[in-house]
Amino acid sequence: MSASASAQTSDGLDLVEVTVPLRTDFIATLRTVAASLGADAGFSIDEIDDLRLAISEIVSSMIDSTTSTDDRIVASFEVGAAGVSVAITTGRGEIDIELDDLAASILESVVDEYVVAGPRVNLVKLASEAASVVEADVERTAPER
Amino acid sequence: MSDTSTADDLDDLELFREFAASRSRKLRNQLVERHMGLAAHIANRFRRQGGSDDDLRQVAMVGLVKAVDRFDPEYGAAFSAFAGRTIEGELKTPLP
Repeated sequence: MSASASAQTSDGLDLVEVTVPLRTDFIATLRTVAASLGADAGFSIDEIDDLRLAISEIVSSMIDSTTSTDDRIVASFEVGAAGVSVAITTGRGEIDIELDDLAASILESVVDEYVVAGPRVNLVKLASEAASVVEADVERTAPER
Repeated sequence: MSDTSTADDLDDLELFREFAASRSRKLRNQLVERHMGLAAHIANRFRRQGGSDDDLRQVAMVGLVKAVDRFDPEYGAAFSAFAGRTIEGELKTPLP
Protein backbone atom coordinates (compact mmCIF):
# COMPACT_ATOMS: atom_id res chain seq x y z
CA MET A 1 0.00 0.00 0.00
CA SER A 2 1.17 3.54 -0.57
CA ALA A 3 -0.32 6.86 0.36
CA SER A 4 0.74 10.20 -1.01
CA ALA A 5 1.22 13.22 1.22
CA SER A 6 -1.87 15.36 1.14
CA ALA A 7 -1.72 18.27 -1.27
CA GLN A 8 -4.19 20.85 -2.45
CA THR A 9 -6.25 20.75 -5.62
CA SER A 10 -6.71 23.79 -7.84
CA ASP A 11 -9.98 24.42 -5.94
CA GLY A 12 -8.08 24.62 -2.66
CA LEU A 13 -9.39 21.25 -1.46
CA ASP A 14 -7.15 18.79 0.39
CA LEU A 15 -6.14 15.88 -1.83
CA VAL A 16 -5.30 12.44 -0.43
CA GLU A 17 -4.30 9.59 -2.75
CA VAL A 18 -4.12 5.95 -1.69
CA THR A 19 -2.83 3.08 -3.83
CA VAL A 20 -3.51 -0.53 -2.86
CA PRO A 21 -3.36 -3.89 -4.67
CA LEU A 22 -6.52 -4.80 -6.60
CA ARG A 23 -7.63 -7.46 -4.12
CA THR A 24 -10.58 -7.80 -1.75
CA ASP A 25 -8.19 -7.87 1.26
CA PHE A 26 -7.49 -4.18 0.73
CA ILE A 27 -11.09 -2.98 0.58
CA ALA A 28 -10.94 -2.61 4.37
CA THR A 29 -7.97 -0.24 4.01
CA LEU A 30 -9.86 2.02 1.62
CA ARG A 31 -12.96 1.89 3.83
CA THR A 32 -10.89 2.99 6.81
CA VAL A 33 -9.32 5.90 4.93
CA ALA A 34 -12.77 6.94 3.64
CA ALA A 35 -14.22 6.83 7.16
CA SER A 36 -11.38 8.95 8.54
CA LEU A 37 -11.69 11.57 5.80
CA GLY A 38 -15.48 11.55 6.12
CA ALA A 39 -15.14 12.26 9.83
CA ASP A 40 -12.76 15.13 9.03
CA ALA A 41 -15.39 16.53 6.64
CA GLY A 42 -17.95 16.56 9.46
CA PHE A 43 -20.01 13.57 8.30
CA SER A 44 -22.49 11.95 10.68
CA ILE A 45 -22.05 8.26 11.57
CA ASP A 46 -24.66 7.32 8.96
CA GLU A 47 -22.95 9.36 6.26
CA ILE A 48 -19.59 7.80 7.08
CA ASP A 49 -21.15 4.34 6.77
CA ASP A 50 -22.75 5.35 3.46
CA LEU A 51 -19.36 6.41 2.10
CA ARG A 52 -17.73 3.18 3.30
CA LEU A 53 -20.48 1.14 1.64
CA ALA A 54 -20.06 3.05 -1.64
CA ILE A 55 -16.29 2.43 -1.63
CA SER A 56 -16.85 -1.31 -1.02
CA GLU A 57 -19.42 -1.52 -3.79
CA ILE A 58 -17.22 0.21 -6.36
CA VAL A 59 -14.02 -1.65 -5.55
CA SER A 60 -15.86 -5.01 -5.45
CA SER A 61 -17.35 -4.24 -8.86
CA MET A 62 -13.85 -3.38 -10.16
CA ILE A 63 -12.48 -6.66 -8.88
CA ASP A 64 -15.42 -8.53 -10.45
CA SER A 65 -14.80 -6.74 -13.77
CA THR A 66 -11.23 -7.97 -14.19
CA THR A 67 -9.23 -11.18 -14.12
CA SER A 68 -6.00 -9.31 -13.47
CA THR A 69 -4.30 -10.24 -10.21
CA ASP A 70 -1.37 -7.84 -10.25
CA ASP A 71 -3.08 -4.51 -10.87
CA ARG A 72 -3.69 -1.85 -8.24
CA ILE A 73 -6.43 0.56 -7.21
CA VAL A 74 -5.77 4.27 -7.03
CA ALA A 75 -8.26 6.19 -4.88
CA SER A 76 -8.08 9.99 -4.83
CA PHE A 77 -10.06 11.73 -2.10
CA GLU A 78 -10.76 15.45 -2.20
CA VAL A 79 -11.89 16.73 1.16
CA GLY A 80 -13.67 20.04 1.59
CA ALA A 81 -16.13 21.66 3.98
CA ALA A 82 -19.09 20.51 1.88
CA GLY A 83 -18.11 16.87 1.69
CA VAL A 84 -15.81 14.35 0.04
CA SER A 85 -15.24 13.62 -3.67
CA VAL A 86 -13.62 10.32 -4.55
CA ALA A 87 -12.13 9.18 -7.87
CA ILE A 88 -11.31 5.47 -8.05
CA THR A 89 -9.46 3.87 -10.93
CA THR A 90 -7.00 1.08 -11.57
CA GLY A 91 -3.26 1.54 -11.99
CA ARG A 92 -3.23 0.40 -15.62
CA GLY A 93 -6.68 1.75 -16.45
CA GLU A 94 -7.41 -1.25 -18.65
CA ILE A 95 -10.69 -2.47 -17.19
CA ASP A 96 -14.20 -1.47 -18.16
CA ILE A 97 -16.14 -1.27 -14.92
CA GLU A 98 -19.62 -2.75 -15.05
CA LEU A 99 -22.01 -1.97 -12.21
CA ASP A 100 -24.91 -4.40 -11.92
CA ASP A 101 -28.41 -3.17 -11.05
CA LEU A 102 -27.96 -3.85 -7.34
CA ALA A 103 -24.67 -1.95 -7.17
CA ALA A 104 -26.23 0.97 -9.09
CA SER A 105 -29.25 1.07 -6.73
CA ILE A 106 -27.01 1.00 -3.68
CA LEU A 107 -24.80 3.80 -4.99
CA GLU A 108 -27.84 5.91 -5.88
CA SER A 109 -29.10 5.68 -2.33
CA VAL A 110 -25.81 6.20 -0.44
CA VAL A 111 -24.02 8.97 -2.39
CA ASP A 112 -25.18 12.29 -3.83
CA GLU A 113 -23.59 11.78 -7.25
CA TYR A 114 -21.63 9.11 -9.09
CA VAL A 115 -20.31 8.69 -12.63
CA VAL A 116 -18.82 5.56 -14.17
CA ALA A 117 -16.55 6.14 -17.16
CA GLY A 118 -14.50 3.21 -18.42
CA PRO A 119 -11.95 2.29 -15.76
CA ARG A 120 -12.85 5.24 -13.51
CA VAL A 121 -15.62 5.95 -11.01
CA ASN A 122 -16.16 9.41 -9.52
CA LEU A 123 -18.47 9.96 -6.58
CA VAL A 124 -19.50 12.83 -4.37
CA LYS A 125 -20.82 12.55 -0.83
CA LEU A 126 -22.04 15.77 0.78
CA ALA A 127 -22.24 16.36 4.52
CA SER A 128 -25.93 17.26 4.42
CA GLU A 129 -26.98 15.92 7.83
CA ALA A 130 -24.03 17.53 9.56
CA ALA A 131 -24.77 20.84 7.88
CA SER A 132 -28.43 20.83 8.97
CA VAL A 133 -27.48 19.91 12.56
CA VAL A 134 -24.99 22.78 12.69
CA GLU A 135 -27.64 25.19 11.37
CA ALA A 136 -30.14 23.98 13.97
CA ASP A 137 -27.54 24.33 16.76
CA VAL A 138 -26.70 27.85 15.67
CA GLU A 139 -30.39 28.81 15.65
CA ARG A 140 -30.96 27.21 19.07
CA THR A 141 -27.96 28.80 20.75
CA ALA A 142 -28.22 32.23 19.09
CA PRO A 143 -28.85 34.91 21.76
CA GLU A 144 -32.23 36.61 21.56
CA ARG A 145 -32.13 40.28 20.70
CA MET B 1 -35.87 -21.60 20.08
CA SER B 2 -35.87 -24.61 17.79
CA ASP B 3 -32.77 -26.57 16.82
CA THR B 4 -33.21 -25.46 13.21
CA SER B 5 -33.20 -21.75 14.02
CA THR B 6 -30.16 -22.20 16.28
CA ALA B 7 -28.33 -23.93 13.41
CA ASP B 8 -29.35 -21.10 11.06
CA ASP B 9 -28.09 -18.50 13.53
CA LEU B 10 -24.73 -20.28 13.74
CA ASP B 11 -24.50 -20.44 9.94
CA ASP B 12 -25.29 -16.74 9.87
CA LEU B 13 -22.57 -15.96 12.38
CA GLU B 14 -20.01 -17.90 10.36
CA LEU B 15 -21.10 -16.14 7.16
CA PHE B 16 -20.88 -12.74 8.85
CA ARG B 17 -17.39 -13.55 10.12
CA GLU B 18 -16.30 -14.60 6.63
CA PHE B 19 -17.87 -11.47 5.17
CA ALA B 20 -16.16 -9.24 7.75
CA ALA B 21 -12.80 -10.73 6.77
CA SER B 22 -13.25 -10.80 2.99
CA ARG B 23 -15.83 -8.05 2.23
CA SER B 24 -16.90 -10.32 -0.64
CA ARG B 25 -19.99 -9.11 -2.54
CA LYS B 26 -21.05 -12.69 -3.14
CA LEU B 27 -21.21 -13.35 0.61
CA ARG B 28 -22.89 -10.00 1.21
CA ASN B 29 -25.59 -10.82 -1.32
CA GLN B 30 -26.03 -14.27 0.21
CA LEU B 31 -26.60 -12.67 3.63
CA VAL B 32 -29.02 -10.14 2.15
CA GLU B 33 -31.00 -12.91 0.45
CA ARG B 34 -31.25 -14.81 3.73
CA HIS B 35 -32.84 -11.82 5.48
CA MET B 36 -35.03 -10.43 2.70
CA GLY B 37 -38.09 -11.69 4.58
CA LEU B 38 -37.27 -9.39 7.51
CA ALA B 39 -37.00 -6.37 5.20
CA ALA B 40 -40.32 -7.23 3.52
CA HIS B 41 -42.00 -7.70 6.91
CA ILE B 42 -40.87 -4.29 8.19
CA ALA B 43 -41.82 -2.62 4.86
CA ASN B 44 -45.32 -4.12 5.25
CA ARG B 45 -45.67 -2.53 8.69
CA PHE B 46 -44.91 0.87 7.18
CA ARG B 47 -47.40 0.33 4.33
CA ARG B 48 -50.25 1.32 6.63
CA GLN B 49 -48.64 4.74 7.01
CA GLY B 50 -48.72 5.43 3.26
CA GLY B 51 -46.26 5.08 0.39
CA SER B 52 -46.22 2.64 -2.50
CA ASP B 53 -45.37 -1.02 -1.88
CA ASP B 54 -42.45 -1.06 -4.30
CA ASP B 55 -40.89 2.11 -2.92
CA LEU B 56 -41.16 0.90 0.66
CA ARG B 57 -39.73 -2.50 -0.20
CA GLN B 58 -36.83 -0.97 -2.10
CA VAL B 59 -35.97 1.40 0.76
CA ALA B 60 -36.19 -1.51 3.21
CA MET B 61 -33.82 -3.54 1.02
CA VAL B 62 -31.30 -0.69 0.99
CA GLY B 63 -31.60 -0.61 4.79
CA LEU B 64 -30.94 -4.35 4.87
CA VAL B 65 -27.83 -3.99 2.68
CA LYS B 66 -26.56 -1.25 5.00
CA ALA B 67 -27.27 -3.42 8.05
CA VAL B 68 -25.33 -6.36 6.59
CA ASP B 69 -22.46 -4.00 5.75
CA ARG B 70 -22.34 -2.50 9.25
CA PHE B 71 -23.06 -5.54 11.41
CA ASP B 72 -20.25 -6.58 13.75
CA PRO B 73 -20.62 -10.33 14.42
CA GLU B 74 -18.31 -10.10 17.46
CA TYR B 75 -20.52 -7.60 19.28
CA GLY B 76 -22.85 -10.34 20.48
CA ALA B 77 -26.19 -8.95 19.32
CA ALA B 78 -28.54 -10.85 17.02
CA PHE B 79 -28.45 -9.62 13.44
CA SER B 80 -32.25 -9.45 13.23
CA ALA B 81 -32.39 -6.99 16.16
CA PHE B 82 -29.69 -4.80 14.64
CA ALA B 83 -31.11 -4.99 11.11
CA GLY B 84 -34.65 -4.22 12.29
CA ARG B 85 -33.54 -0.88 13.75
CA THR B 86 -31.42 -0.04 10.71
CA ILE B 87 -34.23 -0.83 8.25
CA GLU B 88 -36.75 1.18 10.31
CA GLY B 89 -34.33 4.10 10.38
CA GLU B 90 -34.00 3.94 6.61
CA LEU B 91 -37.79 3.85 6.15
CA LYS B 92 -38.23 6.83 8.47
CA THR B 93 -35.65 8.93 6.65
CA PRO B 94 -37.54 11.36 4.42
CA LEU B 95 -36.86 11.01 0.72
CA PRO B 96 -35.02 13.97 -0.87
